[in-house]
Amino acid sequence: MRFAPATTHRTAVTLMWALALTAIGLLLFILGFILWHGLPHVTWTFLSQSPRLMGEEGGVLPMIVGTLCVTVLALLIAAPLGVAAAIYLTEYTRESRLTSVIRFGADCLAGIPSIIFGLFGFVFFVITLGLGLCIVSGALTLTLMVLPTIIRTSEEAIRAVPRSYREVSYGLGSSRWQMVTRVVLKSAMPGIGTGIVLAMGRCIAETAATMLTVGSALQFPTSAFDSTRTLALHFYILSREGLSMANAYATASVLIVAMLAINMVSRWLMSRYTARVR
Amino acid sequence: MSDVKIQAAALNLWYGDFHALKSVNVSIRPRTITAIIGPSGCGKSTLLRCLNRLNELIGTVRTSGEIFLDGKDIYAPGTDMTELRRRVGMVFQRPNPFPLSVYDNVAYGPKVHGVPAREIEQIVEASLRATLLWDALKDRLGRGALELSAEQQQRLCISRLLAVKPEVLLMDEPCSALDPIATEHIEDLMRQLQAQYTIVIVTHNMQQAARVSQETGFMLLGEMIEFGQTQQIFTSPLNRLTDEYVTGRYG
Repeated sequence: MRFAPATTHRTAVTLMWALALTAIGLLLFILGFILWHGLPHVTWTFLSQSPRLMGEEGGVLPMIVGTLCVTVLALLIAAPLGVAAAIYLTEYTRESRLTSVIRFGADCLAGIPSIIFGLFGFVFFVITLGLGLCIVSGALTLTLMVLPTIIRTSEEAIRAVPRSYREVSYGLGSSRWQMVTRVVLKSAMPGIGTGIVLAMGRCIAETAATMLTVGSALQFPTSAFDSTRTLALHFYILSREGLSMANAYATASVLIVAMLAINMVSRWLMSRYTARVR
Repeated sequence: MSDVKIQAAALNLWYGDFHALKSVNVSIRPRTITAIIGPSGCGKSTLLRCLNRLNELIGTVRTSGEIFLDGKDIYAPGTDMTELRRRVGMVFQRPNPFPLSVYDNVAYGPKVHGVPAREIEQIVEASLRATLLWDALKDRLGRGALELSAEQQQRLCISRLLAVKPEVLLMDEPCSALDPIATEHIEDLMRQLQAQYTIVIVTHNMQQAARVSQETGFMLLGEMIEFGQTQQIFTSPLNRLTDEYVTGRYG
């Protein structure tokens, strides 16, 4: 049986529209649900105080600081390493068995559940290296976790740089290093930036791996070797232990708003960067 | 000055198993525009890219034979590739300015060669003047190069090349992404540049070859079928294949 093209078209449009609406609707529903329950409890006191009674009362300031410290430290290590690895894979070596093994390894690592990284971090950084539960252990663990993402996205971005740019650069007598730093990285920057923002999101949201490596101390961290508790973990503990659903939702709201803000700011920064060089 | 700038002798090139250039011999005279014509896939771009060894950036390329630039074999071991590519520059089919400002595009070459900043300013101005871009762009040097029109971008690419003071300009279908008026402008520019530079242009467009060049080579399936004065190639070719090509029997 055949339908008129106009009918098929109308049906397809309606169907796609309904499916897209469902997908976006679900997302908005989740976000709305959490913010609806959480935002009323997000007050200045909540943001600026330490928790009391295990988090039943008080705020989340130490968690905000702890999350920031772990994330920033992890990215400070992972971004240069990852971008360097991507540059090596794309510019400094020919395709060989070794590169495909490295790439396969990175893809596998990217798919491993974070709790495995947590376990490794706990055994290796916390116990074997004797770092203890602390920001450094957590950051190193998260570094391992997000490294594959950064490598693969940077690699794709670098690969997308037109080959003629490289040829021109060589043609003008530049060395490989000059070509990489002045032309390739410049044009790949938006893509690399996207990878780093993705990685940042994963670091901020990570719960399992940080629980095993950063720990869950409620104190305000004063050194990189202090244990602290990230926002995501705080939220998990508050709801899991039934301490305070109101504060759990509030913590989740802080997390969501922070993520949205980071995404929007980085998007804006990148579009400004692109506008400047394009 | 001898009357041969570049001489290729028994030049063979293989991409993997594919024999792309078959014992090509060609002499290119200084301060002359030499056109290489032929149907798609005949090896004309490949030949061009041999002249500054750009082909070697692709993995599986093998060459044999010799190419002499001012009498020195550029395939000899110990050839300074940076110097070779500075002397023999390439303009590509699609204008490909770097995603940098106009100024930084032209300054790129001198910068990587470590020329002092004060001199770079003069080089940038001179290079942009040579391609007749200076008056249009002198107040917009900080703007992104990708904002320019296609013709201006191609001129900018030529300026970028002139900034490193090359001797030979290789042009790989430099007008195929441009409209007819821009094409005419670029051809005018080529005639002006001819006074100082040796130009080799690969083109699909036979009228273009006839208009701008003094010498023409016709290639087919990796072989240089005929090489001679442009006028002779187009009016009284010696080879039947050349005759059929320039009269549009195939292409």
